Amino acid sequence: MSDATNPFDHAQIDDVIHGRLRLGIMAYLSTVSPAIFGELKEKVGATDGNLSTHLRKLEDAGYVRQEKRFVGRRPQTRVFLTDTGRKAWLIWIDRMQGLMRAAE
Amino acid sequence: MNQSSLHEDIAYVRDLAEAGQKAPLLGGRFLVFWGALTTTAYFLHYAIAAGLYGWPDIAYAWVWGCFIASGILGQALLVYTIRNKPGGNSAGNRAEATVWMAGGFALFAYFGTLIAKSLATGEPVPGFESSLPLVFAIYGTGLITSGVMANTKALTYAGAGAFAMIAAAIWFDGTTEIWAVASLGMFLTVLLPGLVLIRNEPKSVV
Repeated sequence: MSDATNPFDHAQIDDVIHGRLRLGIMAYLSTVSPAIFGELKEKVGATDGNLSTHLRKLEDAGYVRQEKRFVGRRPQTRVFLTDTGRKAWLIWIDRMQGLMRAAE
Repeated sequence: MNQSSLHEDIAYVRDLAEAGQKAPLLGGRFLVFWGALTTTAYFLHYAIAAGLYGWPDIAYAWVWGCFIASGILGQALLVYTIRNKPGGNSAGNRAEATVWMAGGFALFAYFGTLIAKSLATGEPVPGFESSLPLVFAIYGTGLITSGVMANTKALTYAGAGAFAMIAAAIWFDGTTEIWAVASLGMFLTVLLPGLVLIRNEPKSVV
């Protein structure tokens, strides 16, 4: 059973965010949104396929939104952090802070 | 998840969040463009007023007509060129875009009304001559806001320089030399800092 008051309860940690690459994506998008796909790829050090897979997972959770457009003749994907994503991100930060405080 | 990996994750997250926060400003090309255009226009205005080339008064209309046409065309082209630049939606870049857009609207309202009044009355209107303090106030506000938001000292100093130009513009008000002084001021406070920003710009991505 999950206990919101227990900082060590692993069930309270959002699994969608808490993967290394997805953490990086959320952290960058929290300061630059929308970000261009290539910009995000460069910042988090991922391949196209890997980044797409993790973005899809975040998108399925409603944390990010992808928008495709053309710049000149070249397609461009922009990734937005949604309001739901920003709330989930802040909750994750609070959860980590609580965990670290409790562990000290 | 142990304490060590948690600390590593937090450090990684922090690095990425800071990368976005410190994204370079992308307004350098706009400063260079408007700095070069306005420096040239002010100098030519001075040259006509001082009779350097013996041009007739109609040359004022040619200079400022070309300025407006080049400005509209150049601005549209420059907006198009920064759409692939990383960090375009960082807080610093959003603040920069907003403050310059607002400044642009203020200048458009001022000069648009002057031109409309001049066309309606068929006579030159005096507000143009005394526009320099307003122009430098708007440029100074834009430069300082961008500089502080993105922690770019070159811009903040340039903004202070633009504010100093307000005093110079008032001091030389009513003289021919005011246009030469304004031309130099534009070069130093707008064109040069723009070149600094362009040097720090990231490469385009898709």
